[in-house]
Amino acid sequence: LEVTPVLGRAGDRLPCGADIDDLFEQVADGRPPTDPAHQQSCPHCRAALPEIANLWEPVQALAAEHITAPPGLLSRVMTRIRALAQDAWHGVLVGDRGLTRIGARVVGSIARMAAARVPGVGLAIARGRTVTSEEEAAEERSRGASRVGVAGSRTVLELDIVIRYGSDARVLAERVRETVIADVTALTGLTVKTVDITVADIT
Amino acid sequence: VRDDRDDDWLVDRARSGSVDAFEALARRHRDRVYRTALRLTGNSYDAEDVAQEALVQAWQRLDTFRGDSAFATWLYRIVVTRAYNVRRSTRRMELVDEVPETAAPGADRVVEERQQRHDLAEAIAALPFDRRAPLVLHQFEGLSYDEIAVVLEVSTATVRMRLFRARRELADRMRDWR
Repeated sequence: LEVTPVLGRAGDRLPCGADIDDLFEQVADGRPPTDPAHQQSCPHCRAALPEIANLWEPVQALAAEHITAPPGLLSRVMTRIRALAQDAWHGVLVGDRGLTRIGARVVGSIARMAAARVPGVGLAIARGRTVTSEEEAAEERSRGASRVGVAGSRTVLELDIVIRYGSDARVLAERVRETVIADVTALTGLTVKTVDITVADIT
Repeated sequence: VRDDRDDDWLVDRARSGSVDAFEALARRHRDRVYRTALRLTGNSYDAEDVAQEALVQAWQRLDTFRGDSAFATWLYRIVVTRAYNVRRSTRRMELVDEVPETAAPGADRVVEERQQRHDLAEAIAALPFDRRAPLVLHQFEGLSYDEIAVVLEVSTATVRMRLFRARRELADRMRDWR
């Protein structure tokens, strides 16, 4: 087949002034011409349009192919997502030779025992939870960063404590916080992000 | 529009932790995710990797979807980004052998057409990414210039210019085959 001179460089025009990219767009998108009266009568346009259509036909044939996701894609994706969702219940440490999952209850128990060791604390109840990716993402966003850290290695602890009469609640809470962070970090390797303390009662 | 509303409903539930809701979303969108990945990468191996990673990432980042665009648009952005990052694997070379040799009558034409589609898919995947992405989203996914502008975070005029160039470059390649 002879190579037609129709398709030149970008921005090229036909001798009639018609923009070739414009004609290309018309053919590729199947949209009506911007200047139908001209195209009807112009020999250059009338020659160029079928040539472009012919050239572009394989693309349209490829686009018409019915493509579906391979079987098994969905189940592979969901297996991974279910595992990730499971991790949200645990503290997760990623090591070279595998994952270490630490149950939220374990973290809670360590925190409770650590808090109870602080003089002036009568009783402590703790709930541990890992920072969800949602919270991390919100936090990263507020910092203007787009990277989300390793989910599940950071822990938020909520503690209810009962203090003995005569203790300074604020000083005691700070001491509890330091002890809990030190113990949880030493015993689990998780990063304690926040320890929220509620002084619930006094005895 | 109804589809978008259903998506929004599912996204809401998935965000509050429903894996089942996300599975429904993934089922609705898996074909478009895979198809886009296939056209962007040019081979089924990379396409499956990209599609899988994109869907898992969508789950992990669901909270960053704000609903100011359609879920599908947001998902396209993830697929495009993943495809951009993919290092073209050496496995794709095996695809050369994917066209079966056969001696059945009339098979020549079938083989030729299949070869042509394969070459075209390769030519598309070989386009520079800034032109490949708008071409795939427009020509194969049917997105409007405005929608592509949202996905690629560029202006509509830029999308149009890149499409012009993509069509030219592809047409040049195809003309060489004749």
